[in-house]
Amino acid sequence: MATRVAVLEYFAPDMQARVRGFAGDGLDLVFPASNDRADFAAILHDADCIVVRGVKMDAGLLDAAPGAGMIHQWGTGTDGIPVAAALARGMVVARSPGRNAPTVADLAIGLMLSCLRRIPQTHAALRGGTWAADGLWDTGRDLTGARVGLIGYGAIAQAVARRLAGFECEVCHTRASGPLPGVPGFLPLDELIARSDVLSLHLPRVPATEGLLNRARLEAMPKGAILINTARGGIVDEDALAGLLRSGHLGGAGLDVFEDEPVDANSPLLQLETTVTLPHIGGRTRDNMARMVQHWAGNIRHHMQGGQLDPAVLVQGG
Amino acid sequence: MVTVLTTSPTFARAGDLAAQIEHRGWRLVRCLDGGLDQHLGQADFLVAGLPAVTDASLAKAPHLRGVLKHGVGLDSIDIPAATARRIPVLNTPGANAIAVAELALAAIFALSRHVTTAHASIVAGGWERKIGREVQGAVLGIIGLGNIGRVLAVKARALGMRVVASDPNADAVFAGEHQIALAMLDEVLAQADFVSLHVFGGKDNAALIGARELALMHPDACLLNLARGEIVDLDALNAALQAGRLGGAAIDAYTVEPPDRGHPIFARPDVIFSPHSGADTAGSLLRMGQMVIDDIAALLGGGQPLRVVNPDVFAASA
Repeated sequence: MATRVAVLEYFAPDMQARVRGFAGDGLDLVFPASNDRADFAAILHDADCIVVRGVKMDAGLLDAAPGAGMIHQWGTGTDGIPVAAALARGMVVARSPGRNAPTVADLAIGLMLSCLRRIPQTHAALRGGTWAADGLWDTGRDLTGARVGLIGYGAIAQAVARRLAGFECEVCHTRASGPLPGVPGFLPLDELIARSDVLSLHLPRVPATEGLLNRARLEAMPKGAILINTARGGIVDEDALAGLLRSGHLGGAGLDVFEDEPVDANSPLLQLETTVTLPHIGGRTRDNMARMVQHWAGNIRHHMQGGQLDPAVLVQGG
Repeated sequence: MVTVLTTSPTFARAGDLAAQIEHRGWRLVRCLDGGLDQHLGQADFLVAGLPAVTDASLAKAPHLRGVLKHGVGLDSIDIPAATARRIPVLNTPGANAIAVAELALAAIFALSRHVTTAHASIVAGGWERKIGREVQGAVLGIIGLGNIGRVLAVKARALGMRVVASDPNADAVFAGEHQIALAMLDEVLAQADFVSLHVFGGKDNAALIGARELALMHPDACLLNLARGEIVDLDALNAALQAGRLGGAAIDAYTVEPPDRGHPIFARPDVIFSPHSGADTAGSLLRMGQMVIDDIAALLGGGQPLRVVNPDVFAASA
């Protein structure tokens, strides 16, 4: 009998077909009619496995899934899964660490370049009838030669560093658990912040990282520096960031993630001339979709056949 | 007093360039909105932006000792006319290569991840999460492997792109070192996911990319023109996009600047526009401006700067 997999995110029919194609044989994928909680509950009652992607699953929904023995994160960050409650029920919780690194690293570099050249703003101005805004020569900047700081040094940050090799950047990084043996470029967090023209976040949202980029740290960034966040909202104080962008202390921000998503239409981060905003598409490429679905589908099949999963994909308690 | 007349809005805007000019005791006259002829009578040097420098304008400049292009493309300057008047013509090769290459890459990432439409959607209160594609692994076709094309190729390789280039004078050793495949134009068009044009404008390359060439490209490939407007047949490009035979485009150069936005291509969501700002970064303007100032100083000192494109003027006067 096919394994029933509840994918807790709405997909249009054509996309459902593509996901099924990538997932392969032996899995019966069911999708909700919408991203409403009631529609999630409706597909959980006979699910063997649950896949969570960009929409949070609350612990209460576990009650709707009495037969489910496994939850798999479609991605790296498991902040959308009620991990403790699931583990307490004896469920297996798994994720795909680092698998989306090429796609997210691509977007981080793209956001750096978009911010440095104000791509959305000059595009909108030209279409709106303004040929070249005054002072473009003051605002356009090269990525080549910039000092880039990476906060977090996992698979994504390392993929960003590799991509910067063609830009003659001075790339440094910091990580919570200290320098990696034999890896140059480590700096303590506050030193890294004080020296980076471009600061890019590559760390999970966990209690220790919430509000990490607070007002004082954002103020400590060099004047004109830009902040790139393809990691998670909630790591950055959004009000402080908006104020520092408005005052001109910060030269720009490229934001793919927000504290609340979808971002509030009245957020002070929108409507700024120096901000490039995206709707959490860091992992959204056709290449990544194939890679990610193949990974979770393979793990689910392996688990259902009684196999042991690679410890690197298993989420433990704590 | 030495009078330096400029038609470039961006000359001597970056760093300390204006202070250098003042320190040398030169008078800088900006002529940005026509009326060039009335100033030419007093000009010792003309720092040329995009407006044409014709034989007729040179005839009005009896004291002119040099035409210095603030940029690379010399298609708007009548070089034989200047040579006949023994006026050296210079440009700033290589100074803008980094900035132009980075704008091309910014456009590639923006097209890959729908940056302009996603940003506009969020700012308008939406949250439209489109699926993009990875830049890593995509094929970049470079037409013209000069200063800009080579810088672009090296950066693209670091980003994990495959690069195929077309240039009758390509440096095969450079191509080999950087694993750049060399091919004829048609082959490059057929293979590439992104095609970026880095050739000179003018008659020789007029409509280099027309309906026939666009038909050779993949239906989801994108065309980038950061070179000169006349190189691409805009009607053919618009028709190809309209018919779904092309994935998107980025345009920084136009046959008439500012362009007539009545052309239907300006309404397309799959085209990214910028205001001929390929060279407009602080670093690029500093490098270009410094070259121009150094060359004026050399000419004033009786020297023969390296960057003179019509060295016959010196031979003729010897």
